[in-house]
Amino acid sequence: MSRRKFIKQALFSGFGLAGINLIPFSSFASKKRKHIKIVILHTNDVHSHIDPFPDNDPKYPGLGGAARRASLIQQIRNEEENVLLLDAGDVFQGTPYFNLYEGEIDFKLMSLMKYDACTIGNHDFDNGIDGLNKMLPHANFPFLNANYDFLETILKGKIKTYKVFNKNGVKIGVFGVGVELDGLVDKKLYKKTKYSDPVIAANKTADILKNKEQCELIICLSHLGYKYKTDKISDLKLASLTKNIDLIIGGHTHTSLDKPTKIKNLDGEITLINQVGWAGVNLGRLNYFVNNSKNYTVSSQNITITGKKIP
Amino acid sequence: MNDVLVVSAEEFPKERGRSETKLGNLVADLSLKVANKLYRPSDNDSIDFCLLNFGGLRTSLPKGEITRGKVFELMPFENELVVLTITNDSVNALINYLIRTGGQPVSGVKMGIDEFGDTETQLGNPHKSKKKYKILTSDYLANGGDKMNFFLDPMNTESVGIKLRDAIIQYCISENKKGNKLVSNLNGRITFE
Repeated sequence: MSRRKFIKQALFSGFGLAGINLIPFSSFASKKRKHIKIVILHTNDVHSHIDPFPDNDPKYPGLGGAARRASLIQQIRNEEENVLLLDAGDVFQGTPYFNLYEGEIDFKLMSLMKYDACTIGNHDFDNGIDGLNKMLPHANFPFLNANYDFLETILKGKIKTYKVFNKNGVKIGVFGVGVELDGLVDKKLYKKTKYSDPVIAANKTADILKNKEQCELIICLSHLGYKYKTDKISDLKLASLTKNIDLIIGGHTHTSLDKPTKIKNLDGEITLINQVGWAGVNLGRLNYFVNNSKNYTVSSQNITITGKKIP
Repeated sequence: MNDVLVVSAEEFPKERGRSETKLGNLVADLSLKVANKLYRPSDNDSIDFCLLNFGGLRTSLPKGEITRGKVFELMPFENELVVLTITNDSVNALINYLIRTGGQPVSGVKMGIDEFGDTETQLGNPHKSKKKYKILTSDYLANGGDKMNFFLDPMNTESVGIKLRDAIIQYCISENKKGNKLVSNLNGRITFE
């Protein structure tokens, strides 16, 4: 055991290990490492919305657009050292761009914006698993999923369970979970993809990220949906039934949250859930100030993408 | 994609949590109209009613010019219109589905659910007594999409021969040719008390 790890454990074994807005740190440990700011940016359900909505749209007049999102992200990258850009699935389907170009433009734009990872949504199967496979070479970022078994499909070996990012010494584990495909996606599209319980998959993966990979922040990209009236698994349920997950970045239900939802997880710690509508109208932003495992503060701001210059 | 197909008299927003929307009525009604023209039944029976899903209508329509591209946004999928013949039992499951989900886009259906959950339903032509029903829907739903499992074992499946999106495009163009704007109404097709 390294000296640093030992110090961490010695310091924290007595604490409640709460999640956010935590505990001023002891001067002893803060000498080891100063606060490091990690900026998490995220989108979900962009659905091939490359252009902004027209000005006469009833709900999102003049909002969104990939070029504006790219400038906003670039502006944030100019200001911040440690940025992680993530997407929670359903990149595909929704405008003629997808009908004509089958997702090539979407993946190329995301690559240009330097997305770090993405998970797979149900609509990413809309041109079949072969259609998704065909587009993968246009993406220079990984697709993460822990509860779809692709072993008997063309995607075998191409989808990772998780990825660990190292930002200025802070290890951030990112993994993905997907919605049940049966009854949602035609079987002839997803073929022999096997869905399994996302709660089991999430707990297993988060445990690996926490204990084996020694991640200090663990993020789940979820395409399960924020909440349901039925007992279908949702992000709200996932958060309460798992541990070790700091943040769930959600999608599927096109839920627009003003700020992240706080849920107590199995350990009584706080898991945050954030989701930012759909069609690239918003960019989610969370700022984590990390100085030790499970010891950080977080602030958030979900940004609506308009034609106006951001001050 | 930027060619204007028709002018809409008002906005048709995509709304959640309602038993009936103007957008849903518009698409269900036009699907039935277009399908009735194209459908060549294998017997003498016509279509009784149309059932689609709110989840399949993907965006709002603005007031004013409706472009072909906007129709692609409303209905991006390559779904085909199909006519399913299903039993009375399956129709009962369909009615329960409509109650459970709080309504879906329909045409040719009138359904009232009172505070005790009792349901009064009129499906298609009220003067026909029926042991089976012919329902217009999309092949996505016919294959059990959105858990419409009552469609999974039909007595018969017939293709209409048109994609749902093309039906919308065709209807917009024909309304425009007639000098009409795109209109839709709410008329209490599915009501909960």
